Amino acid sequence: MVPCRLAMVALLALAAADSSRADAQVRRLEAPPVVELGVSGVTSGPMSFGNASADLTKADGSPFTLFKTANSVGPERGVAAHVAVALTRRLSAEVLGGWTRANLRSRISDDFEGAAPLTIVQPLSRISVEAAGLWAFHRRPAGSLFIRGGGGWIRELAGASVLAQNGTVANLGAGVKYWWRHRAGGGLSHIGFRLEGHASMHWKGVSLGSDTVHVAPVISGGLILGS
Amino acid sequence: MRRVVPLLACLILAVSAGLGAYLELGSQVGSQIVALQWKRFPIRYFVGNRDSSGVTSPALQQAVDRAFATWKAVPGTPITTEFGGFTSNQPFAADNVSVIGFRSRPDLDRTLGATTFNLDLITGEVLEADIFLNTAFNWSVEASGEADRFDVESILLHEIGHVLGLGHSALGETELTAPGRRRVIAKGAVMFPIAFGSGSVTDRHLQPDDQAGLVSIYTAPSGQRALGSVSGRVILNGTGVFGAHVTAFNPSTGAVVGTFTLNQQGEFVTQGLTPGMYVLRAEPLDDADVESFFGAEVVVNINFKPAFAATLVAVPAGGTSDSVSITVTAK
Repeated sequence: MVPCRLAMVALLALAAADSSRADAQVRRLEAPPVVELGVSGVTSGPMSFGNASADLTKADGSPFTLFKTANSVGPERGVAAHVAVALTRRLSAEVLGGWTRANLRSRISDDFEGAAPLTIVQPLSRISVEAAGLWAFHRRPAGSLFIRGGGGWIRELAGASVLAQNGTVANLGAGVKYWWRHRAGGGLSHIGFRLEGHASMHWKGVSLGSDTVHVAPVISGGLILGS
Repeated sequence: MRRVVPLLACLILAVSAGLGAYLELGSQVGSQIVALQWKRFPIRYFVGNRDSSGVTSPALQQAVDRAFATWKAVPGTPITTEFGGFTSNQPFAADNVSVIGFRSRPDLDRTLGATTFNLDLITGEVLEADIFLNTAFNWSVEASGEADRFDVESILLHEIGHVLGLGHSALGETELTAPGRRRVIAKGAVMFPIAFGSGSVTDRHLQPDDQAGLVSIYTAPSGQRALGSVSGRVILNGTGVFGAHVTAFNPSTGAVVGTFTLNQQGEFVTQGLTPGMYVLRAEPLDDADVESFFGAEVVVNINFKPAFAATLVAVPAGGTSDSVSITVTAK
């Protein structure tokens, strides 16, 4: 009788032990990776710089248009990489670096002396380094929705890199992360993808217009790894 | 009514110094062109004591002072001036005294004013420069101008541009009103060779083309590091075009700056440009007499249609763009 009681206590103890380990495992699964690395493709819509006309001056000081231009850039294509560190269960800090390429475009028309209308381009490359904050809400073990805001520095290169101009960028948007592999433990515990859309606002840099700020929609998506 | 403002340039050739931006005045020494410029400042000038209808000598002096101040305000240039007083000396006398004043020249019935120089032909240094305004015309110094009178300050601003070493700009559009006579429709430079009609005071302000020209002459290399240049060729049927007028337009700033192709290869350079993206356009030199820009013996090709460069051009700070080709077709 005594051995039987001991066995039951042992089973209960094991059961209790299993139960506490399972609880811990659930908590580990729900916790976000502490460190996240990602590589993504980036594309943005065209960004208009507006219209500008080459004006001479009449005797009364009013403008006389020699020709008109309608100017834009994009769409852009490129890649970006990021490193994120979880500060809390919902808040992460990120550092991002990116490279994109697009065409500056100027459509020329209404030449006073009848020069043929023409659309001319010049390739533009942009390097960016940004810092951002990411807030996750509606978290599930397999993924989360998030909003992200940040800003940083850009360097734009045009004309076989002869023209290099610096600017600043700010981004605000939202996205989703999906972890198709998520397990407890160290090492590479998470593998998934991240899809995001945001508005990108640029100040300065290479421009074809007089506006001080330009806004473009941006979509990015790619592989993320967590640990 | 056409009002040609020629540069009277004894021993001066209205040709470019090298392939420098803009049309600068220069002195030919052997096969070299030496840019004409002041090397010592302040520029000491006197004002003639002769009045003209409606304009006294003191009023003329004040207009001269304002016109000099406008040029001196161009950033990065070292120009300073000093008013020496009123004088009975006549403009155009080779007396080593720079005189600005009125003079009666009824024979020059299309000349509002003109500039002459006394200079060192070897170094290009200007030793004396005189400006005369022709009393065959009616003049005004009123702030808002006067109908039927030409604005003294506007014409002086142009002539002082010559004094400082600038030739004529071709940045303007004109129309023929009679054989040999043109009316200005619009212009993008005070240094365009034909003045606006009487009553206009629009030319009291420099335009980017004028400023780029002055910067190319006087701004030290250290000051030009913040600016850039564009270079290229104008080609017709595979051959360079001499004397084509090339304009560079910056959509971000709205600035329009002109230059010329100055050799048989059709090559051009425009300096003093704000870094950024530019649209380039070439057109024939047909909005003023060719002699207003080059010597009478020079043959300029004006038999082609205006055209744009096939690419946007990037102008870097302290450097030159990739070489640009503008292909034009015959009329």
